[in-house]
Amino acid sequence: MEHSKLFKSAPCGSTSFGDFVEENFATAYRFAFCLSLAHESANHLTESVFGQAREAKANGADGAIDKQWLLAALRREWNGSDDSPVATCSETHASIGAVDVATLNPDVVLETLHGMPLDRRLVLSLFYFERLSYLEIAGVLGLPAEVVLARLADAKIEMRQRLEMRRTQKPFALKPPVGAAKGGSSG
Amino acid sequence: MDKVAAKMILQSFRRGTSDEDDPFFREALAVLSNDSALAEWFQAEQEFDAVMAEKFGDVPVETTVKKRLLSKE
Repeated sequence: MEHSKLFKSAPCGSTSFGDFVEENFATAYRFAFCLSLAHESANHLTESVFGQAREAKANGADGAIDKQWLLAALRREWNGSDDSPVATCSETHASIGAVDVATLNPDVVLETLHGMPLDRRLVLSLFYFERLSYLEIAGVLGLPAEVVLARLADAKIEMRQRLEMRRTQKPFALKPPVGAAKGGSSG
Repeated sequence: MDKVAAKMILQSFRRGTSDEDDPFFREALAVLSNDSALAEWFQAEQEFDAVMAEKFGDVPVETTVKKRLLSKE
């Protein structure tokens, strides 16, 4: 399946670096946070990749710098090894439903996500954080669309099983960043 | 398309997006009309996705770096 130029947003070829930052900062930050689960690392990753974007735009590669480029660059920049302990999820384990997830602390959801293998964490974060389609995810990760479909399905099943296992455990509190703003409206 | 394939494909489906016009998803959605159990599973899946997206949206965004980047403009 062809997945080049799948993003529907306009290319930023005619936009300034400032406009590019305004439009994409929250997206980049959330994805960086998902990769690292640490605000300090997310800050470092985000600043580094936007620095690359600034340089690329200054060197005339303006048209190539878009949201897809940004997310792919963050993925490349993230050098964290996938050394999280991977709990084995029994196929027969109960799977949590939406009503139960709604009662969970968001930190529990994020920590559960972070405990998953990197390949599954990536597709879930792009699907839920950035609300990308499977074709857009394929573009960011450089994978065939069919692989993304299968990986996303497996990842969602594993996430539900892990959340069910975590449901009765004490929530893990993440340290909030200084001067943080909620959600995507912060640019 | 069989039930297993439809189930895998529909885990990536988003209601209210261009997915609804995608023939790939339309074929999978058509399987729902003949299978009430699958339709029930799909409804629960969509609800789960909505709640998950909301939870993920609660991640606070640190704005210090953004301000620093913009100050260099």
